[in-house]
Amino acid sequence: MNLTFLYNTKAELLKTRRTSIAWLTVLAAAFMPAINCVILLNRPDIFGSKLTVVPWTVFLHMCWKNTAAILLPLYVILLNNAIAQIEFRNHGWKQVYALPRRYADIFFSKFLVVVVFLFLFMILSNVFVLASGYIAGWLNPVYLFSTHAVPVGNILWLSGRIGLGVLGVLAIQYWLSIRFSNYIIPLATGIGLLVAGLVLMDWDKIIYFPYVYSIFLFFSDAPDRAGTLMPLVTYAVIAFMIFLAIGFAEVYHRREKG
Amino acid sequence: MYAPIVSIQQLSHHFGAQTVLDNISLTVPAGCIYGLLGPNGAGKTTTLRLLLGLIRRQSGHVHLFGQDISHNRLPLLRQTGSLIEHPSLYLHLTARENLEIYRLAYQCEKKRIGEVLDTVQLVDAGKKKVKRFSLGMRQRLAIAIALLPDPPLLILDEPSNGLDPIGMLEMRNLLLKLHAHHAKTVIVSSHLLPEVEKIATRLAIIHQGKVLFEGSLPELHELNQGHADLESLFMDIIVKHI
Repeated sequence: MNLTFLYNTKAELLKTRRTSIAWLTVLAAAFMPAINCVILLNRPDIFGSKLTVVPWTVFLHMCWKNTAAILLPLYVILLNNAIAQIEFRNHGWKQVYALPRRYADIFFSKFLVVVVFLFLFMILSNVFVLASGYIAGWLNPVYLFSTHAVPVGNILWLSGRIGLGVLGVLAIQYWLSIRFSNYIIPLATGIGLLVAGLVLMDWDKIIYFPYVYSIFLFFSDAPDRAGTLMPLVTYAVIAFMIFLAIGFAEVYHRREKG
Repeated sequence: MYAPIVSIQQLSHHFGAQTVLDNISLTVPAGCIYGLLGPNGAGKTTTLRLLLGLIRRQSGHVHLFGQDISHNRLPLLRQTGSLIEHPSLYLHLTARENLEIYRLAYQCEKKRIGEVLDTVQLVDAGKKKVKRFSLGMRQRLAIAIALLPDPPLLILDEPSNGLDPIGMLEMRNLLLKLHAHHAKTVIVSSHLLPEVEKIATRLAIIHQGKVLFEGSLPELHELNQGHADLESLFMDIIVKHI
């Protein structure tokens, strides 16, 4: 990684200033923990007993289950769209390609910005899970979050493998978002493929479908899913590399740039 | 005699079955303001995009500073500032933030931001969001961006497009200042003959992908005998071709 690439990544990051991307990241990360906090406060009769022994682990799974299934892939679809549209809306691509920048630099510096926001989303999601747990325990003493240690290892392991699971979607959506100026195309394709994955979860070939890897990796430590972790991580990484390579090759060989 | 800074030889380009450029050759000497004149759809923007390597060349030769753009893209783009069609500005950012983005890409000194804002007379508007700029201010900011690396060559596609008479006058004065005081070679495309006539030291008339005239303004004036003004000559050249 050379200095030029870092300068250009800084420039790409600067382009996101005062856009809705930061708000999208914060709100998407806060969404499930906030809903689950409200659920806990409304139904202490049900959740009080469930969250007695290992409250943090149960609450962590409550929050990350829906995030892994829907919210995270949806966030990745919207994030890629928002970042690519900064260039399309401002007629920016042609000027970007008229700069003394290598095509790889242009492609990967913008992609790195997407990865930075994804990383921020993962961190914020966990921060909001903890905040929601403490708020629920503070407002209703039946929840014993403050008397139990935060399972840092569990948090990192769970969010880490879910993050790996979404990498394929990240690469596909990045490619589609910078490929089509009409934002409806990557948005509709992404949402369509996500819904198709959720509908077809029982299909025997679903293992080849990147849009479900994050939810499958969420469940990968369940007793009935033993042995699925490594194949899923492998397929997720392969999907990521293949679609990132396709995206870059398509940009590199495009006859008309910008 | 100045050496050519841009040389285009036998350049042709097609979009599908449509011929956009038909075997054109142009030579831009260093130190001139070169007007690329033609009606809408004549092939001006395609020519400039080919010059900047934004479109892959199909046939012919394109040389900037004596080198082929397709083989020396990065060093040649470091010496070339450009404005192609609409200004590429991030409207949600301020003028200074826009310049900072391009400064990082060109890796030039921070003081250049103040200098180029001064050159295009936008110092007071540096902290204003670009979405609040008038079209004339946006065009001037786009030229400030092109000036950031202090390039010897500027390629400007229709910089006066959409401007009101005052904006056009400001743009004309800015281009003349860049040529006279900053020693820039400027290639400026336009469909407005009066605009090009007032600033260009050399010009080409392009129509339907063919170069119908290339030469200095005095050479064009020589052809002008029998015409009321340059505009009627321009129309005559175009109509004869049709």
